[in-house]
Amino acid sequence: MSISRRTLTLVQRALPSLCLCNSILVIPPTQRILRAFEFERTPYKGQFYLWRVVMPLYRPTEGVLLNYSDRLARGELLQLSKDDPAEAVAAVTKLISDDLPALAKIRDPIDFFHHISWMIGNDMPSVLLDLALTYYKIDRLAEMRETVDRLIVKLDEFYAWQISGRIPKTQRSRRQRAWERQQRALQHTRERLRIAEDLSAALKSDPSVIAKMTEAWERRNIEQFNLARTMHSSASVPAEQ
Amino acid sequence: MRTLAELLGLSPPLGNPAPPPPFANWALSSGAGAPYLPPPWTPDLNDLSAPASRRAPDFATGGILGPHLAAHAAEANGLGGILGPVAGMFGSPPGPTTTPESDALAVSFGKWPSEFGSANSTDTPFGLNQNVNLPWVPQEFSSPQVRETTEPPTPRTIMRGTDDSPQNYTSSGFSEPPPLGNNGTGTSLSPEYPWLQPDATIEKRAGYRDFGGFHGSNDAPDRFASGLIDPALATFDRGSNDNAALMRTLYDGMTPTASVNNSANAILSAAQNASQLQTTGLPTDLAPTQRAQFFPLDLVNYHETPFGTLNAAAGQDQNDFRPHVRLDFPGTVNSPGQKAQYGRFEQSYERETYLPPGQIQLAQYVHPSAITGVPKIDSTSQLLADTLKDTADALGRVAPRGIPANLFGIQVHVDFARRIKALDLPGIGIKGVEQSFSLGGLKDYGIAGTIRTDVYLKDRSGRPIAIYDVKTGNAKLSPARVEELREAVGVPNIPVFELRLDDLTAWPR
Repeated sequence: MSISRRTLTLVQRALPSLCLCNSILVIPPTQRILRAFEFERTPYKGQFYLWRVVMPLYRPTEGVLLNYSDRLARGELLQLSKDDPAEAVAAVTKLISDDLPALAKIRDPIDFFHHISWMIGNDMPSVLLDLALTYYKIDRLAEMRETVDRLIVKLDEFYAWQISGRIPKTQRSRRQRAWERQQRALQHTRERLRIAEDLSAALKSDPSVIAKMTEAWERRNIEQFNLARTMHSSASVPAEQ
Repeated sequence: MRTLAELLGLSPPLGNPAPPPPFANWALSSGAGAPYLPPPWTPDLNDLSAPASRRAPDFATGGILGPHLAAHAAEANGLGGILGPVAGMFGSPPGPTTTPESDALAVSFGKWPSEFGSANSTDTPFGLNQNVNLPWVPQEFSSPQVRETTEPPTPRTIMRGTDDSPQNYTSSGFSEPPPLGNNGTGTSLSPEYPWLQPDATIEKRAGYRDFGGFHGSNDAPDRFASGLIDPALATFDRGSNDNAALMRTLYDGMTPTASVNNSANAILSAAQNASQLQTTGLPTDLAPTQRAQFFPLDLVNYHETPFGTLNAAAGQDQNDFRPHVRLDFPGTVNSPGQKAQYGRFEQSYERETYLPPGQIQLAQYVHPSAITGVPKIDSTSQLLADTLKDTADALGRVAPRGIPANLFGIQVHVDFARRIKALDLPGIGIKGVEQSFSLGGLKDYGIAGTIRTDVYLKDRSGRPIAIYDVKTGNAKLSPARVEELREAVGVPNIPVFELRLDDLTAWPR
C-alpha cells in the first residue's frame, strides 16, 4: 500500500462519513459531481499535495481532472511518513475536516455551475466541453449551443495546429516517445471533435440524445473511480447552510 | 614599505604620519624611488610647490571613477589632469570643461575625503583610481570636498607594465572591514541548505509586501531593477563607496559580497578570499562564474598624448581619456573593439558607434524578446525573474562543490516553487506552481502522458496564458519540449519562457 493511500485510510477512519474509493476520499452521496480529497504525487519523495477535487462525472475522462479543484494547505507540500503516520494523519484530518463543509455544498450540476461560473470565457476545449454539458444539465440549451459552437471552432484550430507540428516520419524512430504522445493527443482531439459535433447535431435534432451520452459517461466514470457505493449512501455530510 | 608620498618626496601635512597605501605593492612597480620626470617638452614643470590657480573640489582622490574624471578635475584645479602634478604648472587651462560645483558627477567624485597622508584617513584606499581606470559607477550626490589650496597636491602614482600585483590582498594597517555577517532577517538557511555558510540568509525583498504595482523592488535596495546595467555596478550595490573592497574584488576574481547580507556597502572580509566565496557557492550577483582577468595594459604613457588634446573645447572627444585598460569577464566580454558601458572601457583611440549596454547581463533580466506587450505576462516575467534571483541569492547559481547538479536543480526548483507559492501571485496562486497537464486539462503528477510545468500563468477565466520553466546549469528548453508543453496545456502558441538561473534571465522559447 502506498504511503498516500495508507494515510487516507487512516484519515477515513478518523472521518467515517467519507468513503475511500481507489485513492481518493469521496464525500457521499455522489450525484453527478465527484467531490473528493486526494493526494497528488510530486517528484519529491514522501511529499504530496493535498487536493480538494471537484469534477463532473457526466463527461468523458480518463482520470481525475483537476481543472476545478484546489490545493489545500495553501499549496504547501505535505510530508507523509510511513513510520510515524500519526502526525501526518492528524494534520491531514484537520485540513480535510475544515474543508469539508465547503466541498459538501457542491452537490449537483447547478452547484457545479456556480462553482465554475468564474471560468466562463475560458476557451480551453476541456472547459468548454464541461460548460456545455453543464448548461445541458441545468436546461440552458441556448447557452449550450453557443458553447458547443465555440468548442468546435477551438478544437478545429487546435487540431490544425497539432497537425502542423506533427513529427515527420523521418524523425519518428528518433523521437518515439514524443511521437507516441503526439499520436495520443491527436487521437484525443479527434475524439473530442467528434463528441462536439455529435452534441451539435443532437442539439439541432434531438437533445434527449445528449442525456444518453452523459449517462453513459457517468456510468463509465463511476466504474472507473469505483464510486458505486457512494451513489446512494445513507451517510451524507450535511452541507453548511 | 615606503609610502607614495615618501617615494615622491612629499611630506605629510601637519606632521601626520602618512599611512601606507593599502596596495603599496602595486605602486611604482618599476623605478621605485625615482621621482616623476616630466616630458622633455615640459620644462620647469616639476615645481610642486606652485600654488593651484583656483579652488576646486578635490577630485584627485576620487573614488572609483578613475583617471578620467581625476584628470578632468585636476585640469579644472590646475593640476594638469592626467599628466600628473607636473602638468599643473602649465598654468590655467582655457577653462574647466565643467563647473565643478554644478557637476554632480564630478562633485560626487570627491565624496571620500581620502587625502593622502591626512589625519582623517579612512579605510578607503586613496590613490588607486589614479592608476586603474574602472568603469564609471553612478554615485550619489554628495557634498563637495573642497581642498584647501595650501595643502600639497595629491601626487599621482603610476603603475607600469602588466598586472604583476599580488593576487591576495594583505592589509597594510588599515582597519579591517567587518566580516561577512547576517544583518538580514535572521532566517538562517543552514538547516535546509547545509552547503551554505552558516550566516547565509534568504534575502527579504521589501517590495513584495507592496505587491500590486508589479515592481517588486520598489522598496528594496535598487540594485538591478532599474537603470542601465553596468559591469562594475553589479559587483556592489548602487551607492557603494567601498573602493578598497572593489579593488580587492577585482584583483581577487570579481566576486561580490554585497548581496550576501543585503547591505548597502559591499564588505569583504580580509580573511576570506573572494575565490573562496565562489567555491563555496555563496550568493553572488555576478553572472560570470569564472575569475575575471584584469589587464592594466598600459597606464603609463599618459604624457604621450599630445597636450593640445587636453585643452580642446569641452565636449570634444579629445578630452576623453582612454587608458589602455580592459576588463575581461570570461565568456561575457565585450567583443574586441566594441565600446563598453558608458564609454568608460574601450580600447584606446578607437571610437565606435554607441551600442546599448546588454552584452553583460548580471542581474535578473527579462530579455527584450520576452516582452510580449501583455502587461500581466510581462510583469509576471519580471516578478519571477526577481524571485529566481532570491533563490540564486540563497542557493547560488551553480551547484556547489560536492553537490550533484541534478540535486542542485531539484533544490532550486523546490526553493523557487516555495517562494512563488508564498507570494501567491495573481494568475499563479498556489495552483499554478508545479502543475501537471495532459490533453488540455490539469492532471495529477506522474500519470502517463502528463507534463509538469514549473509555473503557469492564467488569465481571469483560468485559461493558461504563459508557461515558465526554470533551468539550471546548461539545461535548455528545447523546441520539442515547448511544443509538448503547448500541446499538453491545450493552448497553441502560448508563450513559454525559460527562466535561467545561471544568468537570471527570462527568455522566450
